[in-house]
Amino acid sequence: MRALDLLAPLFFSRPTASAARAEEELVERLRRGESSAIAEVYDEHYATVRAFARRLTGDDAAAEDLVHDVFVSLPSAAQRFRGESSLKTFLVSIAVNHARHHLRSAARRRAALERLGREPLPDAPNPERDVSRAALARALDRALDQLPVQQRVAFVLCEVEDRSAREAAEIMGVPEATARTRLFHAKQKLRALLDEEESR
Amino acid sequence: MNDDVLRAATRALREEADASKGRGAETRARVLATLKARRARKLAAIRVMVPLAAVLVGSVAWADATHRLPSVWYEIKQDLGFGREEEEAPAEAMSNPPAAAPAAKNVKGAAPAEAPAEKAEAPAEKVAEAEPEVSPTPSEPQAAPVDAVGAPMVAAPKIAAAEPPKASAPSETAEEAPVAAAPAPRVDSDDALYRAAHQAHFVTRDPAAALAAWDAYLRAAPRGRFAPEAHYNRALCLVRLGRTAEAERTLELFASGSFGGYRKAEAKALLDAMRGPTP
Repeated sequence: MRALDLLAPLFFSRPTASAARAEEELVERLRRGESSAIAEVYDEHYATVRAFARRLTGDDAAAEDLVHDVFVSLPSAAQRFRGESSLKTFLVSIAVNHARHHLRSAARRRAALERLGREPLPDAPNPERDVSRAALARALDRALDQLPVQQRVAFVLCEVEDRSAREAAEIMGVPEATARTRLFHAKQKLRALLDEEESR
Repeated sequence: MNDDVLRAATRALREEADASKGRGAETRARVLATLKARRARKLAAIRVMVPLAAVLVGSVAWADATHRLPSVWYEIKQDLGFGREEEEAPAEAMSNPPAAAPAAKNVKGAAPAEAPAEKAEAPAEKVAEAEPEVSPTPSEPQAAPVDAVGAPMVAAPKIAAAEPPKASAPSETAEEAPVAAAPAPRVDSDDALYRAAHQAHFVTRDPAAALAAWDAYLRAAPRGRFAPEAHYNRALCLVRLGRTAEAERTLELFASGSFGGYRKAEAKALLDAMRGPTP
């Protein structure tokens, strides 16, 4: 196993270097605002950005809007891309920067739906299980709505997306310790909020 | 217990998110349409702004080359209402850009504002008394004889104010000196220089002293409110002193409209008289 680790760079260095070069070229085209480059990045990274957006906002429409904003702002954001992280991580960090507005609108929409008592129920083969899962997810979304944005982002990145604190810190553009602190406070508050909701 | 609930809720949230179907194609089309529209807007803005900028730059360059810039600037300020404020506050106006104000413009509303400050203390009766006296009003055309070359009588400026009776010249009796009933502005050194030059020019009629005084005023306020008048009167002094070449150079500027329409006709007439009938 150890020998394989040592030999791996020799075998895989060429493709990795060429991939990095390709990414650099792609970023250069993004900086020039080429539509084809944006479409290329979109096709490659839509799933990642959309998954993060959906997990963060808890709302399909808000997630699509956030994805839209991320890719529309990509040409200008690419100007400050230094290649220190992967393009995927960079896209998620753009989503974090644009999330505030969408989180507010998603929370408003959720609150309005609950007030009107017509929360959409999933139609699936196992409705009982799905309903309880949906209820739990909704409870967590409601609790997340009460968190500051930064703590919410830290929780979604580390707990929902299973990213390391280092990666989350890189995306949020803060020191790792800060990311850990935010996660700690987020979890503490969420526990209290879920407990409160359970006792109701 | 709490940790279990939080863990279960997190898993549920992840599964819910994963189960939701994205509208990738729709959002892709939206992104590309937004980018296209943005690019089109940028292009349209460039298409509008570049010709506008070119016209603006061209106009300014043309106005500068033809010495029309001061008068154009004055017109713009008047249209925007800044000129009026300046007239109300002459002290501020002194430090502002050149005021190649045509005399006709000054006649309308500027006269009371142009009164030097010390005159403000003069009572209204005194103002009325002072009317027939020579009052250095830059806006009012007044006779300034140019005997040296036998040129036609040309207008000389005077200050619209209640000049104390000391300044008197029978030939230059003002017919229409406006009554300065408005509160007068404060006196500053430029005003004093202007008055001294006016005194030398119109009252003591000493062209050499007047020339020196006008030069002193123009040195102190090269872009002052009365600068065009000072330039014109300086040219008259040069004519009287026989320095016709220098006088012609200055009068040419007036005749060519470098100071707008101010003294244009008089300068032309004076130049014609100086040069004599063309064969």
